Amino acid sequence: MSKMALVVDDSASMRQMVSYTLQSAGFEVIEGSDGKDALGKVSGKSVNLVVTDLNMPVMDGITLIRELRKISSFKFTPILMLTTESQDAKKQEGKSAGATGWMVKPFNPEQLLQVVSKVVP
Amino acid sequence: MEIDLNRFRAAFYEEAVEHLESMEAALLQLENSGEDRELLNTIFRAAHSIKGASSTFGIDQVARFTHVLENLLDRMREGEVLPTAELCELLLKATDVLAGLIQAEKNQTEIPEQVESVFHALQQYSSECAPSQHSTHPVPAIDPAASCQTWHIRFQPSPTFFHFGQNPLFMLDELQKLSQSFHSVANLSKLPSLSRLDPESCCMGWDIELTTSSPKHVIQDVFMFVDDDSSPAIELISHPETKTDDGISTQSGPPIRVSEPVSSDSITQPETRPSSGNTNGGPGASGERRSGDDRRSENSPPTKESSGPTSAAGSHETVRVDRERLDKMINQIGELVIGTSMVEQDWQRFHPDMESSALVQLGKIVRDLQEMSLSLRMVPIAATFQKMARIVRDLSHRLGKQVRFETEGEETELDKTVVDQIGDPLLHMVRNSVDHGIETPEERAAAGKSPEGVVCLRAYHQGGNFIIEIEDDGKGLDRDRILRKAIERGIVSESDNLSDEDIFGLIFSAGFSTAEQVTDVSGRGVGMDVVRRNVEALQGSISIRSVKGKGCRMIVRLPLTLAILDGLLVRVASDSYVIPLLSVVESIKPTSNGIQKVLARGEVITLRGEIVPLLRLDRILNLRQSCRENNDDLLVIVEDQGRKYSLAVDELLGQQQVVIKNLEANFQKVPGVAGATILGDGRVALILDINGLCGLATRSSAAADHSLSADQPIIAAEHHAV
Amino acid sequence: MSTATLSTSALSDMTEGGSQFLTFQLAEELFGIDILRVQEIKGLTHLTQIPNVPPYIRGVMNLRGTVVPVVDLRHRFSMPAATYNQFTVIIIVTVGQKVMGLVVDAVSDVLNVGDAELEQLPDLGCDIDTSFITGMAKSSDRLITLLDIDRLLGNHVTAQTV
Repeated sequence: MSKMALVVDDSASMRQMVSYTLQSAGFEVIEGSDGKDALGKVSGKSVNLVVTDLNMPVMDGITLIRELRKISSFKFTPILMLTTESQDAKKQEGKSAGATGWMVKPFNPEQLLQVVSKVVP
Repeated sequence: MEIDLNRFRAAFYEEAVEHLESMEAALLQLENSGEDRELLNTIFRAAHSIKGASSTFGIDQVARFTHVLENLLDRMREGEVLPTAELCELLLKATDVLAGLIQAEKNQTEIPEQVESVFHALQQYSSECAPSQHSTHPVPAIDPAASCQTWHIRFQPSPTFFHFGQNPLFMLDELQKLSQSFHSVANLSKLPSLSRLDPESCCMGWDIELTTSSPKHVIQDVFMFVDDDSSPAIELISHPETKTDDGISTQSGPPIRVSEPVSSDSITQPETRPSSGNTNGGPGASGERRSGDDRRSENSPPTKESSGPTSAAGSHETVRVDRERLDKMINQIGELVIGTSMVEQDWQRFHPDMESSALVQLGKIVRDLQEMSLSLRMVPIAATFQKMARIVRDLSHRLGKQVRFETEGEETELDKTVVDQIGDPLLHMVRNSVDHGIETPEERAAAGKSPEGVVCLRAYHQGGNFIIEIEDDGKGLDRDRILRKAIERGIVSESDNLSDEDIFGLIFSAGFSTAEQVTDVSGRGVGMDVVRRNVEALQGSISIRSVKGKGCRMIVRLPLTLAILDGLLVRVASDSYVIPLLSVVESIKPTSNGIQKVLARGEVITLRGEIVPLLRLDRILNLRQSCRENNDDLLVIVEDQGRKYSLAVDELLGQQQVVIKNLEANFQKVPGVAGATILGDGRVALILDINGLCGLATRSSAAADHSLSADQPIIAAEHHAV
Repeated sequence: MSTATLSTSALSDMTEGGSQFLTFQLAEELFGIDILRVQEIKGLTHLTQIPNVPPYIRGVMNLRGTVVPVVDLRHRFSMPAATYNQFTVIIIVTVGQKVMGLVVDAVSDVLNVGDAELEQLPDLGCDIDTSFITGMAKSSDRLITLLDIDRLLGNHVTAQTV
């Protein structure tokens, strides 16, 4: 069974890039355009990895992380958040909301996979 | 693994345009509403997204610009910088520059000139009110590359460790990969008895001794994501055997414990949280220092969303598809429809008395499918309307007028191709409304109106058409002035009996717009006749309602799609032609003496008192086998630019929706022909371009006139006067 | 006659230096066009006239949903017109991005022409336009005129039709 990843970003190009990278590493990818969209898409499913942007319309990343952690099948799922260097406060917030790790933008596919390998071997 | 980032650029360019549009719309709203967090958040988010993606894809110019923009917007969001009118102006300019930059990047063209000036202006704004400079991160000193060192690591994850999606075993694995020798001992001292064991909390710890050539920061990196309470203590046990450079000499004496917590951001993020000991991160635990937009998104009632263009996006899920692929699919479905009707015709031929219910079913499915496929190309008009908001704003400022811009029905959808092409004509009409329609505040006050004028753009569907109305409450059209001018210019004659609507329509005539009227704003060398031509090129039409002193309303009627056309199928000689139904007024059978010759060449008919020229398609089109029976018993009356013509045809074959194919794909544009379509029997039929046809006819008759004028100068002189 | 077999055999022979030509007949003469430019060969089908174009453009046809212009080569070469019969075919060729049809009397054969067998066209006199002729080739005892499709149908055609 292939590994399943949830990629959430309101920017389609970033989403494409992250999904493509993960797919090339053997993940099957579910995409969400914001937190709410993502929650809807994974309801009843379980995934091996979540990669989410923080700044999104409708439902932001922090709220998404918090909501996901409330779902029993996501209690222990590795969640990576995408932040920018100016978002240290956000990073803290994300961590306390239950994020496993983070990825500072800009990053390239290799860096992404390296970080992913830390949380999903 | 090599992944080419350029492949994602197309998506970036596309989404950047959308972000810029929402940014602009929000800025325009902000300008009117003053401080509004929600708007500021929208603007910030757009800049933030563009920055994140552009820096990732290495579009450095854009990243650099948005970085400054984002900083400034962040300050505004925090209330440190107020959105003054001047600042809004600058931000609007910044969106223009950014759009230009992105465009330049996309097309590999020159970057716009004002980039630097706007860049510096933004920088100035964002630093002016900045209490503290943006802190640059101290780069942690990197251990000099050393040969093997032995480290002791005590790793005691906090009980909540698992709840962050962490797995200590991965870290142990990673450490082992780094090391030449690796030894770990599990610390089970905190493990409770089985009955009290909570499988979800982490009770184990590890003592690890490892020898590695990797520097310390690499070891720290393994634990980069663990929370502060779980941070391991990392101590150097042995000195490198061969290391003697001065970096190490400081380590002589008692063994130095290097045991600061590893969390990498502890450097830059010391004590921002009021309760730094809080690790559980339950909701509320970190509530005090949440930045604005979260608070907003959680607490603000969703009803707020109903206003403003930002809500249009909604949470609809969308898939971006390459336009060409979509068009191909729509085309193929068009073929399917034709194929189906060929089968239906065959069936009728072979089983004239029998109906195949399966075939009826199939036909219905196929036609539904076609309708669905055409709807795929439909997009809301909102983006086009938003652009107009900016135009109205800039223009009214420049003209010293007060204009409120309103839109209705911006979610109304129409074909993307039409949307792309309606922008220019619409722009011109809106400019015209602000420039010529709305009066100055003084004039308005004198007329007893509110000093603020209103320009409203309205979109809606009506009977298979898409309607856009441009309405203003300005001074309205001056019927008498228009008429006078039209007579002056020889567009109409004094004796013509014209209705108000006819007269208003004159402003669309070629040659009506004059030098006297050309202002910096609406002039620009294009008159309303170009607007009309553009709209008609889209198979649309324009009409005008106006009340002097009260305002003016222009109504643009467009087809929902350009992919299919409602046509009247006619036969001329052995070929079938499609006349766009929009141009068709009626079809008649002229009386035997209905057709009269003029100067032996031209032919006219009299239709309810109106003299209408007769056009013979076989002549205009120079058809080869003109074997048509010359009995002239069928005429189709068509209208182009307000003038009627009659076309002689041999047979009316009925009304039909046809899928438009262009001739340019494999050939070239043909005058008088708008395109082609494939009929149910598989034959190609040409779609007539009424405007072009009339042009062809006029040209050939003008040539005829010319030859006449040489012999009979009187006629020529008279002709010029008309 | 299938496109697939034509093009595979064409490819397999490409290695021998020289090229393959599809030959066809117009009146008494044989002509050849580069087989790699031939997309397929269709029987004569209904052609819809196009107004105000040179007479050698016979009209447009429906090629599986695409509207394709069709040139009558006899007309193009000012040969006497022939009535179309059961041998009349339309050769579908590609010219740049565009697809066009050529009406010819009949297709005859696929001919291998080595580089050595290609001969320059002799000077035929000044009033015959030969710019679209690549050269001549011999097959058994007949001469075949090889045509350059791009020159024959490319901008040349479109420029004249305006």
